[in-house]
Amino acid sequence: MSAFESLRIAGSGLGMHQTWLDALSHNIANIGTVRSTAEDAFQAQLVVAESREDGGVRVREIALSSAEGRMTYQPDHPLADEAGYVRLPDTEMSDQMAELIMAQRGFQASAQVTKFAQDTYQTAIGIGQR
Amino acid sequence: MSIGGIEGIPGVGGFTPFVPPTVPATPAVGGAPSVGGVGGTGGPDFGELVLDGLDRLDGVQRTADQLSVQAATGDLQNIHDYTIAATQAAVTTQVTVAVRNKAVEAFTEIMRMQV
Amino acid sequence: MSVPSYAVSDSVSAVLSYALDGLSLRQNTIADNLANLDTPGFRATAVDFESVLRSAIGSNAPAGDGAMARQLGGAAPLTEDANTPVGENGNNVDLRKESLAAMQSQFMYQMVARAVTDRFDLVKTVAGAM
Repeated sequence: MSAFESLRIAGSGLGMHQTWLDALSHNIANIGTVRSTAEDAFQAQLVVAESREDGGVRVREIALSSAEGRMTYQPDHPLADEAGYVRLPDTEMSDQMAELIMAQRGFQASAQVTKFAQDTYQTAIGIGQR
Repeated sequence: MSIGGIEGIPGVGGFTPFVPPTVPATPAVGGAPSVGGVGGTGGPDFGELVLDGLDRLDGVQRTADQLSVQAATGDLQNIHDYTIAATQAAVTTQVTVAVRNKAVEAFTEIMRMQV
Repeated sequence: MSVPSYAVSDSVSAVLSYALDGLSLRQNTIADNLANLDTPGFRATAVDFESVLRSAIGSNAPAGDGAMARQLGGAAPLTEDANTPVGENGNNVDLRKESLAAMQSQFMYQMVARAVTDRFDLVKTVAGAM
């Protein structure tokens, strides 16, 4: 029902930010994942959002960070190649944490909207009643 | 005493505070106003006023019904559209009934008068 | 945005009804802005129905002839760009501004709905006393 637009729009906001949060926790959990140089590095998930024409937001795509990663010298690592290198993800913990805070804030903002929407609908239903 | 139709109350399609109805010009002497009969000297007769009021009430109730159907099918634009229309219908019905009761009461009173 | 026909005979009803519609639209817009809090390139919008109301009230003497309702029936609220600074990803949604606006429009909605109910109560009281 288009009477509940606010709720639908806020719902899309919650959905997108939840996806973002999930991607970020996935990235953070794998910040130290080591791969051998024969494979791709762990690729962080990058959520790309776009606004919807009918209001709200959607996830356009989930891109992946570089497959090359960061070549790091760890000769004692079991996965190290002959030169002693392994691949680490090309991701900074600080960036991920900063985004985590933004994603949480965004999620809470849409959650707040659903509360307001609820109150408004309650008020609308109560018109004319004592 | 005032005898008036729904028409005489301004805003019975809306929510204005009640204003006492005014009597359309009717002959002072003679029979009681008869529903559907030829009444006053050029104003709408009582019967017409009553029917007009009922029409308006019908319109208001129909609007509320249409909106409730929209709510059920998911086509309602705003919740307050329905609740306002529903309250409107309820209030208009109340006023219509109250005025009708008063009118009947007045009519009965007149009929009881010794002529 | 049309003013329902039951309001035809009363200017105040038309104004209140218009305000409720305008506030709903505003709440949907705020929901959209907040859902897109982090969307790159998104520009926030704002709804202004008060100026439409003010000019309608200014130009109409209160009368029972439905003039107000007709005027408002043809006048949509204005949707304009929010004049907030744009961040480096092209997004200009101001979280604080939107949150305050959400709270304010929520209370305003409650107040206008209360006004509508109160006016109905007046007529009910009169009908009961007849």
